[in-house]
Amino acid sequence: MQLTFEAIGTIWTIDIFKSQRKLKKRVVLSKILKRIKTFDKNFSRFTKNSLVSQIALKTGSYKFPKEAKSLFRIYFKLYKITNGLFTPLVGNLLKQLGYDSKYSFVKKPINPVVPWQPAIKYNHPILTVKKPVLLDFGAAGKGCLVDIIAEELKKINVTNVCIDAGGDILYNNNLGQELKIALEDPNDTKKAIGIIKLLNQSLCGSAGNRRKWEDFHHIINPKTLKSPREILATWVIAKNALIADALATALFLVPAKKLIPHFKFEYLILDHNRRVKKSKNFNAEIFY
Amino acid sequence: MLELALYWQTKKQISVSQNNQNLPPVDNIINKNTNKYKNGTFSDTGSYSSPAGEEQIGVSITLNNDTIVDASVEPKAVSPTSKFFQNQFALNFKDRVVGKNIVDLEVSKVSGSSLTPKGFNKALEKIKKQANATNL
Repeated sequence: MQLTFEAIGTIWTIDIFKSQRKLKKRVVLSKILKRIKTFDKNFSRFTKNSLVSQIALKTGSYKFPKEAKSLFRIYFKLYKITNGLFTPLVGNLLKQLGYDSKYSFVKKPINPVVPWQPAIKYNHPILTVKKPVLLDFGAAGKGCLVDIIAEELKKINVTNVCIDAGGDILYNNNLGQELKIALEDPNDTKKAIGIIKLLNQSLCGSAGNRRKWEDFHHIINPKTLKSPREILATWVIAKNALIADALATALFLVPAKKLIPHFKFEYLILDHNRRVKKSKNFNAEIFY
Repeated sequence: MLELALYWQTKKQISVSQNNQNLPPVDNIINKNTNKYKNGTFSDTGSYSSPAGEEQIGVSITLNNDTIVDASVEPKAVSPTSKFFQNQFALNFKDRVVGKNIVDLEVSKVSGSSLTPKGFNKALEKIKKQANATNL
């Protein structure tokens, strides 16, 4: 069974292989879309009246759902590891540079990115907002949601599944069949720089080739106020899509060696000279 | 080892830039009878002195019309430090990637930056048009 739909600003394809019970496509799709809507209502800065958009306007205590625990935890962990370069408080900057909820791409006056502690404090499930701030969970939100959808499907006995959220892929298959995935060439989307085989893992890719305007793409370094140019694309393999997604972005901001002591993952980085740096067990065939 | 990497880099750069300029393949330019080296794959083992003692490394090169079209390295080190360095070299000596057409690859999926939906692309198009208009 294959489901295709648009959500959180990208296109999703979910392939369900051999489910245990008879599933109705309409029912499964409805369940998934409902869950995504709930996620958007909390975490999206693009959704009207979302929790995140309320936090941008008013101080106070805000109650977040269950999944916020692991999301805030990884954000805070990476915030500390990267000395503030990886931060959910980058939302205001993205908006000021033009990547706002209306996709206006018009630059406005820029303010420095606010540090974590003076502005927010997360004690699950409550976020205390001391300074109104626009939070952006783009770096790891998709991975978080992919894991959530995988869990939802598990509840209805769907364990052999491929969830492809705009190129971030979670693939579980207890029959042991590997999935061949092309690593898209950021300089030419009709081409690939290599092929990776995936099984019972998540693969997330990040690059600056699509969401770009003027001199920027969707990853902004909060200290330099520029988009990193030395790296063209990154890919990360990890057990959870949340980790893979977060680290794929983090690799634009800090070297891999800063992340290696803290997470279990494999990576590949394509730099602006078209050279590849990858971890030993990132088993991809690269085209030279 | 460094010389091999530099040599590989230079040769590959030439062939990559030729591809980018849509020049005819090397075969059509060079008369095969005047090749300096035979076409084919050639392998040998080299020895060198390391602080840990004498070490060996296997090298294999494929030549076609005096161009290195492929190369591989087989670590044969004995000491742990040499093993580490040889493995690092084996993993990293091949330099710049090229893109292959995805339609020619037998893949089920493609992974890269997130696909952007129509709304986003439409907004970008509008901005580009505005930018072009103001440049007139």
